[in-house]
Formats: sequence, structure tokens, C-alpha cells
Amino acid sequence: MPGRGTNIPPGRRVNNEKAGCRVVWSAGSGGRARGSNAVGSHLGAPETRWGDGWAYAEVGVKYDPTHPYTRYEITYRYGDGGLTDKGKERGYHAEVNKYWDSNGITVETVVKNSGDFVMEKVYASAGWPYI
Amino acid sequence: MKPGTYHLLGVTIIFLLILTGMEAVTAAPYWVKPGVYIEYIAERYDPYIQYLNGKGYVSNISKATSVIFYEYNGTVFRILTLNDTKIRFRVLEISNNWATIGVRIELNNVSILTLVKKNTTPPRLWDVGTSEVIIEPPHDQSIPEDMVWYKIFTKRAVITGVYKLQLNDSAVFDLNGKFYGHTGLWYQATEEWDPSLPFIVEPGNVSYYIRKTGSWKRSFWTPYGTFGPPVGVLTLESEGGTIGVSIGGIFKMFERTVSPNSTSTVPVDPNSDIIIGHSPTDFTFPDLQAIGVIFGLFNDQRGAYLNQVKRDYSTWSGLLLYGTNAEFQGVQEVPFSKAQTPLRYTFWVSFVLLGSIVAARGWGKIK
Repeated sequence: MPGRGTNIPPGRRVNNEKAGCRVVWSAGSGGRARGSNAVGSHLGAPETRWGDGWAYAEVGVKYDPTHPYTRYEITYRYGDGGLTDKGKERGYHAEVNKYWDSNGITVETVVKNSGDFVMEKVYASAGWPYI
Repeated sequence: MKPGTYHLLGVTIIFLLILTGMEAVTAAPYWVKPGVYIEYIAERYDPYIQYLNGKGYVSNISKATSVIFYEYNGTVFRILTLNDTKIRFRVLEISNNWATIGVRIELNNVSILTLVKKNTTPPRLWDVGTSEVIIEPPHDQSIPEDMVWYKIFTKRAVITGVYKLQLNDSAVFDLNGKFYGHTGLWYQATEEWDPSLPFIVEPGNVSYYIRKTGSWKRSFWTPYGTFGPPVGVLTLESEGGTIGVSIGGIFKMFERTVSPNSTSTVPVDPNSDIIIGHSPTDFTFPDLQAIGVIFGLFNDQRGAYLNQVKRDYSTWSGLLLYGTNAEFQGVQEVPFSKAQTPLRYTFWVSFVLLGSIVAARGWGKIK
């Protein structure tokens, strides 16, 4: 089972301007494989239109390679978000909401101005496909 | 003194006592009466969904008008609503200094998630006839093996509840007497809310306190109507902390870290003192917490589209005033931040009047 973010240290921003997400794969035998490819409908790397906020989500999964969709265990769910440099320059503030569910995690970064109006929302989701 | 004088004095004193009593009770706005309802809404708006699709977002959370964490009979649900979210508060009864308020939350096109013991059914708050239920084993070591995920997809779910509102200070309590904070239905600039008391307490003990009142010199659109200018604005501030929701301490479902000195605004109609919008994401008002809504996030998608796509700030994406049968007086030019109550002047005028009567009678006797 890999530690979180073998190539992405926890808490580090992966991409300053875009939302991102990643599933870290792990074979049940202890061998490792990783990928940033999309799985099912959970993944994607959405562009942020104004680039004021960022979001990142990641799950770690230990699974039986012969039955990956029925015999697996989610070992961790990780997510983070915040303002990009552009968002900071504009004087915005950000709320980072993390939603855990049965198969993964979604991170929602809400970028607001001083009047509490939402300027932008950025999402990142990561999860294991469910049947 | 003659008997007539005693009669006049007695009537005046009773009048004064009534006024003094009313002073305590009428801290609530004049329009708060049994039968009055106030509705708020977060509406679905297709152009916003198309905008999200264009950005490549697929998560249902991004497309929800609300995400509500609700506890009922010891079970915690996450309820995600894709069509309209509508909330109605109705004054059921007023007795002495207390109002009993009924709440009805109508959720349309709903996905419900919870964790329950195997072979048990969570309490039903969804339409039985139109629902689809999926039961899945957990895939987390932290979740006991005798638990299962329960996923319900239904066209409609309704949450109802009742709470108590103390009228002299607008404090919200559940039916067991637990204090939750200040009502999110109104705020009067003349209120004397103890600033050391939390206005709102979120799960995880993140509290918001009153910081100041002010105004926006522009109008604010709601489905009920356009308010202002000016629009009264109440600013709340938090000491910071982490808002968290979990199912029985077994599985964390939501988390947000709130920075110290984070502020949040509440728009108010300065004429009637009714709160015309609730923050899109910052906090959940005590009126919902008192019926079991642990935390809720709302997204009026028309407001979201106008703010995020059109850069139009004539409204916002939080809950918006949708309807009320309250009868508002057509008052104009009421300064929001200035503390004044006509009733207080009436009290002092009556007091002077009483003094004059007594003095006149006394003077007459001396003569």
C-alpha cells in the first residue's frame, strides 16, 4: 500500500491554476502502481475560468487485481484547495469544503469577495468506481 | 383625590404596565403573528448547469441546490438535492414570550446517503413509491463490518420539525430547551443581543458573533421582490475552527476549516427587519439546526449564474426569500443602524403625561 502521494506530497498544490484529481492505485500484494488517468465519471481536470481558486482530491485504494471492483479497500481520502496567486491578488477569500462519501472524496473551493458573493467554485473529485 | 382621578390614574398605570410588557415581547417584529409564514428557496437554473458542464464538472455536489446533513432518530443523512430546495417557516403559536415555529423543507430530485447496521432500515424521509434504494458493503477499514451504506434516490423528500423562538431576544431553542443562537428569520437593529453570545454555532464548535451592522447602497433581488436600496447588512465574525460532520464518530462526511476572523454577511430588509437571504455556504442558521439539520450548504443557481458568469451582484447564490404572507407596513427611510423604537418614545411620553396629571392634581389640591 503506498503512502499518500508518493509523487505528490500531502498538502502540496499540484497545479496552481487548475483543479486536479488523482487515484493512487495499489495492488493487494503490496506492489504499486499509480495513475492520474480518469476512472469512471469521478475524475477530470476542469479548467477554472478565472483561475482564482484551486482544488485537489486523491484516494488511495488497496485491491485484489483479479477482482478490482468487488474486493478493494479505500485506505485514505485526501483533498485540499485554496486561492491561487491571482485570487489572492484580487483580495478574495476561499472556503474549502471536503465531502467524503462511500467511494471517494469531493473537494469544493468556494472563492468569495468581501461582500460574501461567490465569484467562482472549483471542484475536484476522486473515487473508486462502484457497481 | 376624587374617585374619577383614581380611575384615570389606574387606567394610565395599566396602560404603562401593558406598554412595559409589550416592550419585552415586541423585540420581535410587529408582523410576527400566528399563521405567518416565511419561505426561502434555492432554485435550479439550467444555464448554470450548462455552464458547469462546459467546465467539465461531473460531480453531483457541484450541481446541487443544497447539501444537507440531517440527523433523525440517531441516524445522520447526507441529502443532496438537484432540483429546487424550498424551506418554509410558519409561526404556529405565540404564547407569552415564546413562538412555536414549524419548519418544512421540501427537496426535489434527491440523493440520500447514510450508514446503518446490517438488516436495519433507516428512518424514512423519502417518498416510498418513487425511490430506488441501493445497499452496499463498506470498503473502509474504519467502518465496522456489520454496517452497510444505504443510498436512496428519490424524486422528493420532506423534512419537518418544530422549534421554539424566544421573542424578547430572538433566541432559538429546540423542544428540549437547547440553545442554538439567534433566529435567521429577522434581525432588528434595535435588538440588544448580548454580543458575547454566539449568533450561530456550527458543528465542531465554530461560532459566529455579531460584529457590526451597516448597509449596502444598492438593491437586492429575491424571488419575493427587490429590496432597497439601501439593504441592511449584518456582519458576523468567527473565531475560527473546524466545522465537521460525521456519522456516529465512525465516518467523517464533511469538513471545513474556518480561519480566525472570518466574516460573513446577512442581508436584511431595513423596513421590516426580515432576513432576505442566507449565506450560500458560510453557516446554517439555528432555525434549521434546532430541527436536526446539522449543517447545510445552499446554492441558488440563478444567483450563482449571475454572480459567477455574468458578474451581476444584484442577488446572490444563497437561500433567497421566496414568499411570505406577513403584512409589512409601507415604511420608508428607516435608518438600519440607528437605534430607535417608537414604542420607547410612547413610553416616555406616557410617563411625562402621567407625571403631569399627578402634578396638576396635586397642584389643584394645594390651591
